[in-house]
Amino acid sequence: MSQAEPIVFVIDDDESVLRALERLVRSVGLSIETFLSADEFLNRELPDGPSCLVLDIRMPGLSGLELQDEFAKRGLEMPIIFITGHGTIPMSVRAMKAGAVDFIQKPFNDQELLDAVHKAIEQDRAESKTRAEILKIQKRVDSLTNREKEVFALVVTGLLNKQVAGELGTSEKTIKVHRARVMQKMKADSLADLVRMADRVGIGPQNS
Amino acid sequence: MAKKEMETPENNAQQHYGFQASIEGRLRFERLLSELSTAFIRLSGREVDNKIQYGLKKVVEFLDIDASSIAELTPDGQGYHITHYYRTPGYPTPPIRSSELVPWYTERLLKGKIFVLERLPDDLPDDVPSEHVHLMKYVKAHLAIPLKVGEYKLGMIGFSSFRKKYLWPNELIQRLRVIGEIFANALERKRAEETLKRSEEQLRLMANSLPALISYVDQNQCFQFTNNAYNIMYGLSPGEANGRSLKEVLGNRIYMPIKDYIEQALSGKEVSYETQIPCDDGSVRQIEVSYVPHIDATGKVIGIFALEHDVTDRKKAELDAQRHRDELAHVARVATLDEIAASLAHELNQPLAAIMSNAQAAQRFLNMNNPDIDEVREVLTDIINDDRRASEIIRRLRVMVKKGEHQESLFNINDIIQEIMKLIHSDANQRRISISQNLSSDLPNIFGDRIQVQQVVLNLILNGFTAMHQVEEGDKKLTISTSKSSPDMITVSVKDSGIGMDEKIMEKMFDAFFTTRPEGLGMGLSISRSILEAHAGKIWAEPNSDCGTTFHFSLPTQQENVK
Repeated sequence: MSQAEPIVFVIDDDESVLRALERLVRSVGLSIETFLSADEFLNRELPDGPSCLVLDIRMPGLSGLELQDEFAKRGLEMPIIFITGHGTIPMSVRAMKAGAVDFIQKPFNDQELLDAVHKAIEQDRAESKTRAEILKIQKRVDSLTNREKEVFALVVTGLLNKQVAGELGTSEKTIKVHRARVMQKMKADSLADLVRMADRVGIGPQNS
Repeated sequence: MAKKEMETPENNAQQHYGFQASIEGRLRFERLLSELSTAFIRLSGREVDNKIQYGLKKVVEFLDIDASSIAELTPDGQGYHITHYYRTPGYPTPPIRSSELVPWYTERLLKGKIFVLERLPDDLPDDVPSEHVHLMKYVKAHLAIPLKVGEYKLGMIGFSSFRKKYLWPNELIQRLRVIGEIFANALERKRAEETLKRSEEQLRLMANSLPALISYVDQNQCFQFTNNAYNIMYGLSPGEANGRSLKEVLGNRIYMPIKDYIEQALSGKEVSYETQIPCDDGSVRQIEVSYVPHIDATGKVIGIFALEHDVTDRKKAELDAQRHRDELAHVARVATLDEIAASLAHELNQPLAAIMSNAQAAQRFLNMNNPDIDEVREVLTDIINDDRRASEIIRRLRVMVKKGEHQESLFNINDIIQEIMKLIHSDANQRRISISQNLSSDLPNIFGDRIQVQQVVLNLILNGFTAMHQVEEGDKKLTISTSKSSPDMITVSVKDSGIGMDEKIMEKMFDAFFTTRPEGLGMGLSISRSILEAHAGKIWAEPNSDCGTTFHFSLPTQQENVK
């Protein structure tokens, strides 16, 4: 899945700029799709492969920053690179805090943009991988029964079976059985493994 | 006369009293009459008084009486005031001067009655107070005749005898009345002349005190009158120009350019024009001239009244005001552009960024193994277009910021609005304002200062933006429309959906330095109004029925066939 073609998406309300960026990105062998507005872009289905978004902050309709918020709302995670003809410091700070990869002023050096694009694509690739993994783990967690979930949560805090039994008010023997099932469903090789997985999906001491 | 004549009681009386009714006597009297009546012909006012004096003397001598006087009616019409008198030498001047002392005397005369006293003091009327009887003791006989000119009461003429009593037969009285009328007519003519002279003098005084240059030329283009101001301007001494022709007095250099106007005025038309007069000190004065033809009762033009004003100073003040207005407009323009500077930078950055990326992309293409030359050509074309775009924005910026003098040209208001749109559209985007244009096609052109009119449009649009600052996004709408509001007027309207303005603000908003914004200069609307007024246009505002305000301004159109 993560071997699919990376795509760069560019949104800018200025046609000249879109045309120029398209040429630039193609000149390094990347695929690119351009859009004149954020609304247009939101209508497009999300791609499978790694991707990133290059967009101008100042646009009619949905602005760049608002799109960033929209992504967060929809739980979309595509790295964003902001380009702008006029950026203020507060604007750039807000963008970076909201997770933008970079904030570049127009007119920009081609290398600057291309570097940011590469970085973003790699970031997306890595994040997809992570996302895929987490998804896998989450699926496993979802297959646990409620009781198994409770045991899981307590085991990864480092409690002995006896202590867990005490917490839950059952016998140690029962706990042992549950624990084995958890290990099996979670496909964990060791306790350490289990703990790592728990961390990944946010199950742990701070959550009990 | 000889004592041989029959001594009739009448004869006796006449002899006794001195008047001869004989034919000879009558003839002599007629001669006196005709002498007196011709004496006053062609006399000037001054000479009249002397002649009357002479006439009174002649009558007194002829009648062998002792005094005669003429008194004129006082201004209040209630009494008499002695103006001329003659008495034979040796007799004192009349004790009675003022008519207030002898009301019984003046009353009768005022009523138009002739006062006949032949035997004083016996025939004094009964109503004479006893103290006045004393005043009359020198007089033995007296005749007083009221004088009229037509219906107009002038005064009276009186005749007195001190030495002896005197008879005043009716015939004599009538003849003396005729003499009185001769004197009265002469006096009246003198008064008329004096009045005329006085009013001429008044006119002259008035003309001379006015700063305007006043002159009068007759139908032969010869000066008849020039006032002081005129003399000073053209270097003439008083009266120097009278009788001489315009051409001769003013000289060819001044006369030739105005010759046609003079001729037009002499043909009966009222003419106005402006001309320049070179002065001795080398300066040039700007003069506004009006000619009013002087037309007599038959409709013939007999002269021209010329009224001229030196408007050099006024013109200079107008120019100064214009320059001042232009400077202010420039300051306001720069301040306005400051507000949209950020957007302008963005506008410029777009083409620049495109050029940069295009050029760098082209470089990379060329570095490939089989460079696609056609693609590179396309890139270059795009670069050129983007460069033009950037240059256009800079050019427009330069034009707006330039100080420059007031420059007038023919332009179309829709073009101006489209240009402004390019400047502010990115600002509008950022503020989330949607702008719609409702521009009427086929609008006639406007003649005026393009930059300044553009400034007005920009100002109204930016004001509209500010008004919508607090409004919900999605509700921020600005509409610009143009239309032909009347055969010779175009109206432009800028409608916003902002918070609107209350009455107090609407009253003051066109005032200089009035602003509702903390960072505002407060110049925009007042300069806009001043620009429009200079174009003979108007600006006004109306609240919208739903929300916000609409600003309108009007400009006169330029007819194509007018110069």
